[in-house]
Amino acid sequence: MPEIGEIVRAIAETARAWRDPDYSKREAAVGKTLEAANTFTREAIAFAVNQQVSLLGDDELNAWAPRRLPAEPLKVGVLNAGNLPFVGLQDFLAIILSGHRYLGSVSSRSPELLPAFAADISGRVHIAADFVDPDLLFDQVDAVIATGSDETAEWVSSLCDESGISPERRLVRSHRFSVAVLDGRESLDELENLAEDALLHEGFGCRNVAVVWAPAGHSPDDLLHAFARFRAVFPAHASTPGRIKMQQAFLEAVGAPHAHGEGLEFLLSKGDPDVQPPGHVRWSEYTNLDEVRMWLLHNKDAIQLVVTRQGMRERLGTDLHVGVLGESQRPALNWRPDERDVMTFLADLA
Amino acid sequence: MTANDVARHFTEFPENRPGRFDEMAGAVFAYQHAHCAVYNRYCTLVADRQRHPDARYPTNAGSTSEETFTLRQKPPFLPVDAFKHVPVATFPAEQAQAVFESSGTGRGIPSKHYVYDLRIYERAVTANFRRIFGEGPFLIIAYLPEYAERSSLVYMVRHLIKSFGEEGSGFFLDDTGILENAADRADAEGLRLMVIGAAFGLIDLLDRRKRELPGDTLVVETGGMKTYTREITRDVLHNRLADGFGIDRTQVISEYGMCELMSQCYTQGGETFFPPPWMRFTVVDPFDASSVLPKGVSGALAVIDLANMYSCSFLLTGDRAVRQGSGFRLLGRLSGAELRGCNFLLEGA
Repeated sequence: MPEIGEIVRAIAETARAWRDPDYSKREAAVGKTLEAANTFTREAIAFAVNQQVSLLGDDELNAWAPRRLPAEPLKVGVLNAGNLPFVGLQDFLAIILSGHRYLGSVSSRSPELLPAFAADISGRVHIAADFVDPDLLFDQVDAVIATGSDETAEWVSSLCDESGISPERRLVRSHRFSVAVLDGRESLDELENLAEDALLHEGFGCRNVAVVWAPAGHSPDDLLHAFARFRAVFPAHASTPGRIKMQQAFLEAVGAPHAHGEGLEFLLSKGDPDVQPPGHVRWSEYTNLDEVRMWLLHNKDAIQLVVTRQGMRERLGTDLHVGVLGESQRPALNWRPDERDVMTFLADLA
Repeated sequence: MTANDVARHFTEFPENRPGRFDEMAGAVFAYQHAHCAVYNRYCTLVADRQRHPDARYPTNAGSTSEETFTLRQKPPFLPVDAFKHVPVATFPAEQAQAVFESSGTGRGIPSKHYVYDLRIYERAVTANFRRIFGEGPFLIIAYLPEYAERSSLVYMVRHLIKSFGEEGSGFFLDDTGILENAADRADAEGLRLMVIGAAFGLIDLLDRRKRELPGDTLVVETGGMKTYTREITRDVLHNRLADGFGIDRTQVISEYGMCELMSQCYTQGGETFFPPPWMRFTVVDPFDASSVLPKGVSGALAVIDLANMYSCSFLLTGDRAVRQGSGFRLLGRLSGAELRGCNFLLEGA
């Protein structure tokens, strides 16, 4: 088995190669991903790949990797969702860096990117990583990482029970969303960052901003313009207008205040801070920040991240992770989905 | 057939009239399309979106379009959230005999169902209850903490007590002695006990203390498991209720109803809900309610409830369901949050 340093070097080398959009292996994987039945656009895939490989320098990987390998490596199964391009990279890297063996299943929505990246690393250093159908995964692994709805969690639990995988060896994350809190003094740049937070990946990510809190009476016009500017750079997937047109018809029928892009590339409605389906952002007003604090507290188990202006961070006084506008789609290498650290989970397995 | 005919006869389904539901639904659709303003607007807008799938919006085509649906063309299902925003009614709201309100949580606006004729609700409740449980009578004890007077559930249970309840039937809140006394009385006098309660309330009750009820007791849980969705499936809930009350699992029944619907569905000893003959359901794509999903695939539950005669019968609920035989299994709420994030794991499972 190679040393951690060798694996780090191979990952960093691979990442360097993948930074080039014309790199043949990346190009091939992106092409096949665009052919799959998903909601990814070329621009969104490029963003996801660039953002993730940009984090994989030798120093960053060395800082994140554990200091020593487990005495007895385990086989860790990962059920990768297909809601975003290149989803699951962090789990994959964490497992191979922590000396365990990786067995993953990929969604038909994003079947190419992660296996292609893994194969590229394998060509540089020996790593124990394979991909199988989800049905075949449970009987072959000692631990499981999965993300999904209550129904998914139930399904994973029952298969783990059948396969004798104990609860301590399951890392099951829930579906989440992010929230933006505005104070009304956001610059146009900050609002464009928020557009990225909300609209990238058509709103399907568990870090996408779904609810925007704004001071009562503050106009959403600047944000709508930012949404439109964002869409000029990141066009909506062809399916997005079809997905949100019935919601828009409903809002119009009941007379609920809302606004949308000319071609239904986005939809924003005013109302209670209820999370709407992907592509539809809810604008909710507060008269007092206490309302926001209470709501955040009440919904803390469903919130991945809060984004806001620098000056608002302290004022919010929440235990949730608070970042700046534009941070949602740019997680750090060591970010902790659902506040659970994958490296700690893997270290505790040994 | 006219809307008045439906209002008078919607619970009657003679076996020699297989097309009766469609006939009634057609009359109801025509009536609601003509008289329910919000449904009319929604139908027009949806027709416009479907006629011009690639059209750019906004347009004013929706408001001027003459095109609409016939029953054969699948009337659109109005999302139940409409009841939170506007009166969904075929009559002026001030003429309502009653207004049923949902509980509403947090900052949430409650749904309001303006009821034109309470007798229709009562007939739907009574006829369905009789189909499932027979003529009774039952010693009905209801435990509905946190439900307001304006809740349709409270009205329904009160009506059931009036129609099917033995003397001494009633509600209890903190005084659990009422339940114990009812159990003793049912035992002593050979009465059939029926406990109706919100799921979370019954579980809380049992968490405090197990209560042995007579062996033939029926326990009807009326949902309200939102706070338990992660921990308790309906299967586990039924087991806990059966175990806690010392009855057979087949005597635990779930009721599915909501303020926006005049009719209810019941399970019959399992986890599958069955609608009454005047209600039909379908499971549709949550992103496109006009697209019906095949058996076994989970999606959004849509219903046609003829008892919603004077509001809107064609409704898209906020619940996730999967078709099972002639019934459906509920899989929880289908919130916007549920549709986001990494939720697509089960595609190949």
